[in-house]
Amino acid sequence: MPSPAPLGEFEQVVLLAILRLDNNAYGVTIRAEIAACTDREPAPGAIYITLDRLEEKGLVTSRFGEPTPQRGGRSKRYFTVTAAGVEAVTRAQESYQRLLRGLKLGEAFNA
Amino acid sequence: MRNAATAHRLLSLVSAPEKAASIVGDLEEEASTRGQRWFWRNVLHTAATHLGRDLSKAPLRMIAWAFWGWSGSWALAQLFSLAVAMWRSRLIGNIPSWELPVHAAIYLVIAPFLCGWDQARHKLGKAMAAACATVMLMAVVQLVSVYLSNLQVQRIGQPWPGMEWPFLQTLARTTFFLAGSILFRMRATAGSHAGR
Repeated sequence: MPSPAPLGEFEQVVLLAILRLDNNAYGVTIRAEIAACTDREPAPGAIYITLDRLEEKGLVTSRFGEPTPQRGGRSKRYFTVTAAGVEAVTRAQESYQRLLRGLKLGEAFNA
Repeated sequence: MRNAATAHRLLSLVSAPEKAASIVGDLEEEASTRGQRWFWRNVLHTAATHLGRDLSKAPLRMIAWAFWGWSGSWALAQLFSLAVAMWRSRLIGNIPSWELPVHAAIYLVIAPFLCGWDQARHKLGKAMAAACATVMLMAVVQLVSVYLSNLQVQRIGQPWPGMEWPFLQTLARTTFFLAGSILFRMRATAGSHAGR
């Protein structure tokens, strides 16, 4: 089985935000979740480009919801992480954990 | 008042219309608390980000499309001009006063517009990126040609004719090329705007 495509840092952030949001992951909520969890507010354009790229890699899928009057009759585009996406983000996070293992970062900050 | 239909048209130039609609919906939802300036800043930023991605994703393909658009525009202008000159020489003989404006219109307006339209027709998914790449190539070619003619003018000791005419020429050709691409793209996605 081929190994999953390598993930950039922001791609991991977006994938984790979608996983946290479960069935309610669309542009606005993904952005809000990232802002709430990371204290940084990514530009909407950056999120949509990343979501398109993740979809091209087969790591997320998207579907259009029903149009709502609150959004001027425009539908939401909901995202779901695929099995390949879960595997890719898990591997990436495990790599970070391995790199962190044995490091005493607290001491470095206090020095 | 936000004009969501205009934002949708703008974003549909660089992404699929249904995706553009959902992006505009998202931005409208957030803009209800953030305001009109935030809405338009992010519409433009999102459009620019999509365009930048299309331009940088396959640079060699973009360069090839740019050469295709530029050479097509040039060849079409030569062909039309030749046809006009042949038609005139057969019917009239002498060069009439209207011939120069007709050649200028062909070179600056008609050929670039038709080539922009045709390029968008063939590269529908990446029409705007292809048009921007072509426009950049047109500008570079014009700069190089101005530089070379400057060298030649210096060599024969003539006064420098100035940059105004080459600048206006490039501006006209690139504007009408882009207009051709944009109008085709808008026409192609017009069905998805209906009823919005």
